[in-house]
Amino acid sequence: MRQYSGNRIGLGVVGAVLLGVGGYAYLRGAGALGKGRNARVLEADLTGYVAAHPWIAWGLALVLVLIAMLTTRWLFMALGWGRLGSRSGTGTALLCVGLKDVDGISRTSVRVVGEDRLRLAVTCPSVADVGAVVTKLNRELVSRVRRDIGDDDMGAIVRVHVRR
Amino acid sequence: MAWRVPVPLFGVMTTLQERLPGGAALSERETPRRRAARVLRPARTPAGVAVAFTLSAGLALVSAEVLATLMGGGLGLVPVDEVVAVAADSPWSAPALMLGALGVAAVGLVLLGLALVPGRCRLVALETSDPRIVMAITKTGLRRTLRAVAEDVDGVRSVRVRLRRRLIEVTVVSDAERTGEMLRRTGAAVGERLNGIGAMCAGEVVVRLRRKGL
Repeated sequence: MRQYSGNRIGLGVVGAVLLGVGGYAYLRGAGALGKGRNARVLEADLTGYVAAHPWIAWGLALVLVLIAMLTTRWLFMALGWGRLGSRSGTGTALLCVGLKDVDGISRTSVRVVGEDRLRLAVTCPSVADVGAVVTKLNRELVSRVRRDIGDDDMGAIVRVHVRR
Repeated sequence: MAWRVPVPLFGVMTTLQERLPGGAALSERETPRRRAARVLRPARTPAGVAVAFTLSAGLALVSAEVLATLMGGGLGLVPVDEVVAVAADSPWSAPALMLGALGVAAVGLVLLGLALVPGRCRLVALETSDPRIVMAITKTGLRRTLRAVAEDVDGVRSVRVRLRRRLIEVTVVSDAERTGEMLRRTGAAVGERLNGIGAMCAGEVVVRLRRKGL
């Protein structure tokens, strides 16, 4: 079971590209790369070559569109698309029944994420014996919920909160 | 006055491994603490959303502008021609360009740092008997439950709990005459609650008496 790592991959790739481009431009300007530091950033030869071969500009536009589509997908994923899962009424009811002995339990939720993961959330009052709640979840309830709405091999992430 | 209660919260890893069904299969690297840390580490959502949104919007605008220009029009949303003209006129050694390059490299370094540094988790992992279950309590929730249990001790008027890296600091305000026993009982109650929920935060509980005799 792993945390969603798309953001870290995206940030790493963008960070590496920016570091590479920025570092190259700085070193080139400082003359550390052995090339002319007073040369133009966009040389006239290159501009002329691109103007003579329009497919290069079309190819560049295509690459830009593809990267824009990729980053839009990343944006949706970062906002939780496909990661929040769907709420399971049966699972929530099972959890509530299992914790009916504890007064003041609130905001219980069970979500099924994909095919192999459950996300459970429970909020207890501060006067509750949180140790007993955690023990019950660990030894009995999570397994029961997992068995009833999915299968025993599902991973489960349980978030416990204590309110005032 | 302070009373230190060393609580073996997660000091003896072998004990937990013996209790796990697949304990013998746990490798040296795959400890419950590592597994929980891997699942619970920050997903970098705010930074990811910000960078993804900036890139999506910027690239969509630039690609639309480039395509419109190639098809003989021009949307006028992004000054592509002006940027090309400036790049064709500027040398690599232009001070503004070098300063901008340093800024870009610095932003890249920050983003790389966000990607590589694990980050501080806002949840405290709890022991579980099944390796496929990861359980955690919010830091606020842990503070509240420890505070509630400490306030139940006789002679304690109010309590403040702070979770530090390797220390749980419980500051007790009391008007009791004799505070030594009360501090000991507070430390024991807090330690018992921590062990009861199986919090995986190594360290010790320090109980401090902040004020007395009001």
